Amino acid sequence: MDDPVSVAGRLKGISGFVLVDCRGRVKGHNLGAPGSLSKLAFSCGRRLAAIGKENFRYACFSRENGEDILIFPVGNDYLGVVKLKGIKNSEVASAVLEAFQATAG
Amino acid sequence: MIIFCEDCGEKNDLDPSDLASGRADFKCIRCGYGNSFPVKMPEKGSAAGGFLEKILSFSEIIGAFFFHRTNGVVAWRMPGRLTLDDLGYLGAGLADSYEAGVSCDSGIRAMTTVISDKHLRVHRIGEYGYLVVISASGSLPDSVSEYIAALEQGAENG
Repeated sequence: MDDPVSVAGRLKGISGFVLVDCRGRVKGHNLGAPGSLSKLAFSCGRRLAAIGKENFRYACFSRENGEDILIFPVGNDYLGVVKLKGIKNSEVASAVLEAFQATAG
Repeated sequence: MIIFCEDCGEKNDLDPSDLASGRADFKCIRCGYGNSFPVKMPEKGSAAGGFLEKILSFSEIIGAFFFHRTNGVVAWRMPGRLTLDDLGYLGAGLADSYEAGVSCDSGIRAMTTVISDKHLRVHRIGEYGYLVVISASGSLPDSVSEYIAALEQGAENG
């Protein structure tokens, strides 16, 4: 099974990612300063996972600059990605879900 | 007024006069189930109720409700399977998540959460209010987006 950080590093259509564990600790990233995104991924990921339980697939935060942020549950961790402007959220979401599903399988 | 079948979730458009007794008694237009349950009518002329009626007229929209930090769920048009307590729990959780996002990035303007195959879109309306729209797909009809933008603008202008 591939390391989730390596899988995230190969994702297309994003400008950066951060993977945090269930306590908010950063497990890997490719950003200059992952603090803000890691905090968002952890605080929102765990709240939304509490609501959706195992049916929580992902969340998307729309931003004024078009570089939306998507949060995914990955096992017991949370992945936050920053989408490149001009790419559909649904395309990035499908790519991430597929990548991690393939890894799990 | 749109009322959801408790059995299959189909939207049934009932005449408000049919609900005057405070109960919805009707056979579902899709599955024929005999529904009979209490309904809480919005206040007459309620702007929130009118807004929900308007966006629920689009087939892509499954349901919607307004949540307020202090007052809880203040207006709703949702499938009958969800109780008011369910909606309150959902509204509070989504509002908390939205605010957690904004506290990390002030450029955030909306949040969409995908649970199973439902898209739950959250917009903040004013200082303490939130509109939650549930749809089958991630993109809302243009008209619905325009209605929401106008609502947000109206709240900002007081």
